[in-house]
Amino acid sequence: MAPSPALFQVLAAVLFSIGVMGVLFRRNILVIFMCVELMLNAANLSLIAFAHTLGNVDGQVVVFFALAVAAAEVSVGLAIIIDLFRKKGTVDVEQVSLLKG
Amino acid sequence: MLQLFWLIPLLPLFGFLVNGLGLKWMPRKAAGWLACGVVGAAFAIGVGALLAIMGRPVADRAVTQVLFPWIMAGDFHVNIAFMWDPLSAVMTLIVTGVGFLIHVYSLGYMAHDEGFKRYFAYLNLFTFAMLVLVLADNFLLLFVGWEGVGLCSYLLIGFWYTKKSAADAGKKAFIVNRIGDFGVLVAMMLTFWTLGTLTFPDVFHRAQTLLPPGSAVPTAIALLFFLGAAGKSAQIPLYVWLPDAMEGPTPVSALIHAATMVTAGVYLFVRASGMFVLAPQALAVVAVIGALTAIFAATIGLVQTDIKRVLAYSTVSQLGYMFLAVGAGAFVAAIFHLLTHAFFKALLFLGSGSVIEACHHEQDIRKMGGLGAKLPITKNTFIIGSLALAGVPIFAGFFSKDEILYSAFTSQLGGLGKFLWVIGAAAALLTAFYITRLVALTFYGKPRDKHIYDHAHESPRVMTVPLMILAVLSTVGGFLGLPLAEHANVMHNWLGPWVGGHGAEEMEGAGQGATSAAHAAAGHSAGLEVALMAISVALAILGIWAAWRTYVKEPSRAQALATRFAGLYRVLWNKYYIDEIYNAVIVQPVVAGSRILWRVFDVGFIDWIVNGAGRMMRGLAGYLRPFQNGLAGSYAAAIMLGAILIMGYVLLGGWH
Amino acid sequence: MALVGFLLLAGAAIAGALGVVLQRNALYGALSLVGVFVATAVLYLMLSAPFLAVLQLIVYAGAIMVLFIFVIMLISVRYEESGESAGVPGGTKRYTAMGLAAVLVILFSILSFKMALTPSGTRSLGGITELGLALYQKYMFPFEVASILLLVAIVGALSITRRHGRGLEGNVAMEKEV
Repeated sequence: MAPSPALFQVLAAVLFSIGVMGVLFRRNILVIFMCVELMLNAANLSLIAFAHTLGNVDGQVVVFFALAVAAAEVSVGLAIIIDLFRKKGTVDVEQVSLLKG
Repeated sequence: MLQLFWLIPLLPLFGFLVNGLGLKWMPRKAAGWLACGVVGAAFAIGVGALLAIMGRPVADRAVTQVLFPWIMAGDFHVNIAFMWDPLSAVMTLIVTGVGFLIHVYSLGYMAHDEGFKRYFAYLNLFTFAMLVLVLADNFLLLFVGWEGVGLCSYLLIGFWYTKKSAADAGKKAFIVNRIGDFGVLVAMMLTFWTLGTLTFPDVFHRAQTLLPPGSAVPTAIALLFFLGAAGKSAQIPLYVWLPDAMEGPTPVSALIHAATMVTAGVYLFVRASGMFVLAPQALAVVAVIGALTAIFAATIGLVQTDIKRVLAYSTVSQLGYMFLAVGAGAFVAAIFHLLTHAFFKALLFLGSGSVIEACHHEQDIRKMGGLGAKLPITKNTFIIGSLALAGVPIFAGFFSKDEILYSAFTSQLGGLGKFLWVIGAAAALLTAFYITRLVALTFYGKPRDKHIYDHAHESPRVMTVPLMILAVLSTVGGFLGLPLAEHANVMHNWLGPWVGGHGAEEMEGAGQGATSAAHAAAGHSAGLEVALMAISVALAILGIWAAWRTYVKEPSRAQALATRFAGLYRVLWNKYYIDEIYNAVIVQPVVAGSRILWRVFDVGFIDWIVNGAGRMMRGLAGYLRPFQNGLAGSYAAAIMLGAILIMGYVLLGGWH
Repeated sequence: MALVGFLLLAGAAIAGALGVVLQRNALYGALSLVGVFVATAVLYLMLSAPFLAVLQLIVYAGAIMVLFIFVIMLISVRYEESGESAGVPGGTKRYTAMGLAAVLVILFSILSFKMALTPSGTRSLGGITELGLALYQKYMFPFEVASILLLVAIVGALSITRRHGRGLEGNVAMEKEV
């Protein structure tokens, strides 16, 4: 018995919201970044489930590109984090409140 | 020349512009001559224009020159246009003629003054405004001139603006005038509202057809205009600025506060007489106030010690006579007295200026005395002016004042008219007294201040020649209005058809015929007129004799009288405390009221609101500031929240 | 049968996700994330996307996570001692977070079930052939743009971390100073 397609969506939603929680409430910027990846992954899952449901390959193409973009994004993001660590000596976001005001 | 009469006001305007804009670079002498020249030229054109219309048949004597349309708003049409008719011709010649003499006199009087050029610029501006006033062909343009002379009065009274009393006097004049101007404005609006026009011939024509005589509308209009006239022409209760106006240079007092500006109210009434004859109750009020002012001011003038103040109160008093005439329906008499008064009052003021100059700017007559020996020309011309003012026969004032008193006695005011005659006669007695007192204390007797006496000297020719010319005019000017001789009464033949609401039909019947018809209808009796004349002459001589005895023959009598009637003397000397009363009743409450408005309303309320807006902003900002904590996490949270809200909205079917 | 498999994999994914979020040690979190990716990859297989499943493993789990672990080891490992408070904050924050998450899930669920999806029968959907055809025909342009994007990312990453004035050697210096 195949799982109903809706279940995949629910799973994606759950993973996504877990990722949201992590983004909001962790202080270590690397962990935050990882949660972002988690969210992306959840979105990809949702897309592929839809592609399967609708019999369309376009969803998978989108995921393909999303994967590529995620890779690029991670490399640049980590570069920024390293730079931030060099400048501030910390990766605790609560200590980097330069935008305060 | 008639075609050029519109230049008359523009020439002094030109003088003002050149002198005013060229204050820095105009040479002093040139400025003075330019100012005198433009007024003289205006006078010449005026004479030419007068001769031009004199030759015309009576009905044909009005010429209107439209310079350009001014206001065209729906039904409301007003042009910048001048009207040359017998009445405006007379006024113009007074303004430019006497004005010219005073301009020339000022060349001498103001010769050592720093503000020489500014003075002449203002004087020309005044002449321009006054001419606009008398030549205007509609109420609105007249009002422009009216306001203009008010402004110049302020500028010239406060000419020596560094002196506080002068600056205050200028303010007082302007503010009191403003009260009157309010009346004029409302009157004009009422006129337009009921008659639909402000141009003179149309107004009077429509008034006579549309407004029932004695009804509320013309009465209201007349009374409101009188409020304005009371302000401008210093009648009760708005006369208080005129005595203070003596702070200005003496030629200014002569020109503005004797010969021309203060007569604007009289001119207004005579010009609009076509409408005012429809409001007999209002005219009665005018007559009463005029008579009361005449005697009231005369009593104050009896005891004043400043030479110019005596003359100032005298002016107020004589203006009262003019309004008495207006109120009694004797419009021609009012203008006649205006004319003669211009001559002798200007003469008296200029003469007093000569005295003041000789005494090194001393104006207190208690310090003068015996100056006649050192200032012969001034003394003689001054005496001529006094005789004219007192109403001694053959001098100008006699004829005009007499005509006024006669008209009051025989007017349609009936019993009231006779009562007002009594008041006017009594005032005439006082007039003769106070002016003789002035002459006596100034020119006769023993000098009371040696220093002043020793340094006194006669004035230069540029000042004495105008005095002499005015003296001649004061002597012969009266013959323009000979009584009892219908055909020879120039004033009546000239002005009669043009005032008091005479219709065009009457004018066609030739001027003289209409005049005599009107006179016959008024119950003219030669015998009565001679009798009244005799009484007034007797009163004048009595007044002169009494003053002479008191101040020249036995000077101690004056002091004795003052001591015996000490209380009365003090009241008169303090001008019945009117200024103090006004201050307490009107000025202080207004000042207190405005202080309250300032503190409670402006600072307390409005500033509270404005500052409150600022405070509110700061409070709001303070509340919002913690949201900007610089932590990316909370920003992400906000984004998330927003995204969820939008998603929720979409997912639940809100937006397609 | 498939349902059971799905539930197992779902459970694994959720467990891994919670691990990422709740673990105090970032390194352990990274490893949990790898687990999530593996579970997801198998799910992709279930959803007839074999190519993408493999791609997920290679790119995400194999490259991205390795990069992450590098950086974590370089930076965060020493940092942990300085005492970040317990991974999840307490009190209102915790409950707000859970509330937020719950709302999201509920919303999506509502939507999903409202959509009444029925699976189509095609099974050969996600093979390389189909994907390749789509990529090189319909999605040619995005494909090229993606390659430029990767180039940009490389250049960006290098320039951000470059030490000014030391050229290429600057990057090597990173080992020493961190």
